Amino acid sequence: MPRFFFHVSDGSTVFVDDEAVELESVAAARDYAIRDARDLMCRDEEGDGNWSGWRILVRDEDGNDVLAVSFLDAVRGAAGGEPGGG
Amino acid sequence: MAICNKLLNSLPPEELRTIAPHLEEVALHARQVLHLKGIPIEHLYFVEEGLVSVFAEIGEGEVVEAWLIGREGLVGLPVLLGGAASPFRRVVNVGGRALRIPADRSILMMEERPAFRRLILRYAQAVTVQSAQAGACANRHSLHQRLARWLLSAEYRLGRNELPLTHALLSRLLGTRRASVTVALGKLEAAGIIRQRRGEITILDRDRLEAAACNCHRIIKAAYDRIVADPDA
Repeated sequence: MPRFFFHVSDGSTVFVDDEAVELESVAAARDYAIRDARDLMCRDEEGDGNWSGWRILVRDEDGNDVLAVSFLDAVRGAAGGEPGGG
Repeated sequence: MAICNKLLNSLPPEELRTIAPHLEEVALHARQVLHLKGIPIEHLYFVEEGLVSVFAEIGEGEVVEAWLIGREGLVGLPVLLGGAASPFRRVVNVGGRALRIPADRSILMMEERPAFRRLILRYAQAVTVQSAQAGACANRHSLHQRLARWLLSAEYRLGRNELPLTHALLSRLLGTRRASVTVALGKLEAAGIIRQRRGEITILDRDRLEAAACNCHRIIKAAYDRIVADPDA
């Protein structure tokens, strides 16, 4: 199964995932990224609730961008995610 | 014998001399299974170096780490409290070494040596305090507080401030997704409180890490420190 890295960007800083996760497919990776975004948002105790600019950046084992999920899209619903990063 | 385990170290010398012939030094290898759920325990391990995970079952075949045992404790307490086995699996997380004793010999020690028995009961009390306090903590305190508490706890149990703990492990201990741990650790690193290299977290500023932790850390640590402080209580 392919491995994916789920980095978290707040718009300026990137919090790097260097452990990765084995998932079946890009679709599974998008789902995983959406869950990451939702978990971060619901656990936020100190922040200002302003999630614009936050994204999960998903990369493959070769470092290529696979997709990116903006946190605001993760709230709006299932279809969030732009293929190919960006 | 230069011993790192804090329980053994707090035994009176004559008691240590009695138990020493029955202690066998063994290596602990990462992912080595020490005890299986429901299977009679054959050896107790006084950890010298390394960390052992105690796994609790949370679903069909699904386990998570409930806590970590290092040199502050022993692996196999149920035997000394009257049970032959336990519902938890215990697996080495960070390799190192331990002094192990056969279970039946340890039961004899409990029956025949009062100082050993008092020590074990104080240890059991510390574990009880930890279980209750950690439960309240998980319900109430923020991820940042609980993460700081676990890093301090790991340092205390491992005996060094370079912690080979993965984000995945910490996320299971804390009941959260790994990404939330990655962000929380990243913020601690940006503040200069810790440093991260692949697979290893180093505590740089323990004072500020303690300030970030909830008071649960001090309560739990005090229970463990009390084991050593009251030789004849």
